Amino acid sequence: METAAEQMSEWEDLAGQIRGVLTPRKPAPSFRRRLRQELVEMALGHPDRDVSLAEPSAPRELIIGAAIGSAVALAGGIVYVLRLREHARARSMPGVHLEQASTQAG
Amino acid sequence: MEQRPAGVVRRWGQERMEPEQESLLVKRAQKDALAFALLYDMHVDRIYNYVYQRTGNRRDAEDLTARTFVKAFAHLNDYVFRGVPFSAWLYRIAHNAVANWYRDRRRHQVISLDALIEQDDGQQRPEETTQVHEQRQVLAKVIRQLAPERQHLLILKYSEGLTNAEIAEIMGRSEGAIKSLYHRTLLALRRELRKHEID
Repeated sequence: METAAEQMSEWEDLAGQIRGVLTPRKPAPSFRRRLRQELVEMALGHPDRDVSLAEPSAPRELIIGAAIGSAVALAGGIVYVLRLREHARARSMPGVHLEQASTQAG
Repeated sequence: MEQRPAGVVRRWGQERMEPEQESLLVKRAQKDALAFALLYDMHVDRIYNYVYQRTGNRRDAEDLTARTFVKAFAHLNDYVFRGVPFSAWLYRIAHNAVANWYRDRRRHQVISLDALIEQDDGQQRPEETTQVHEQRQVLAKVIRQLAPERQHLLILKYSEGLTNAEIAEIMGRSEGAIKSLYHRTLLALRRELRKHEID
């Protein structure tokens, strides 16, 4: 059976150990400065506090790559349609047929 | 030389204001976004310390401190002074950020809790013996396994040196409730430490 004095001593010992584990930690000055600067820039850029807190959904490289891919595909589609229209126009013009026929004969 | 406003006291390098005075500063920051930097200066050390003690490593403490202040900045207009210090509001944001961090860690299982604890606290201090170092490691591990509110209480009491009355204000409880929670926390700690001694 513990006496009151023993119990008190045990609590004090435990408190001392907790104090040793939870030693106050300060942020690095460089981090402190950088975050402050970022917040000030945010305040200047978003005075209405319309700040997006969401993580970016995809890395920037992926977004740029997807944009380039889409642009190339679109350009290819446009060229294809233009060529189809050109062929259709060529078929509907008899002069072009004659010219092609003479080229083939020659 | 810049003068500190009346009512401001210093605690390990950071300024603390009376809640009423602080609420005036918050009101100013709600209208003038740049004034938020003053609130940041007053609270960054304690929020970093809280997050550091909860996560046990510098990298995540920096990341979560930044998230806490960005979120506070974005939602500052939601803050209404009702006699509770502004720091209580900041702690709540930090607490949620830490809870999400633990949830994501568990989901992705990138790194174990023990490994995280050992990242920074694993280093033996020059003045301590191996036995003391091991005891500290075990205690750090047991503290980080306590319920979040118990960890919060211990951090405010031992790391920030706040009184029960100040802790009660921040945690939104009565002083009696804090004393009772503190007593139960010490009992739980002792029980867990004895289990480790047996193991």
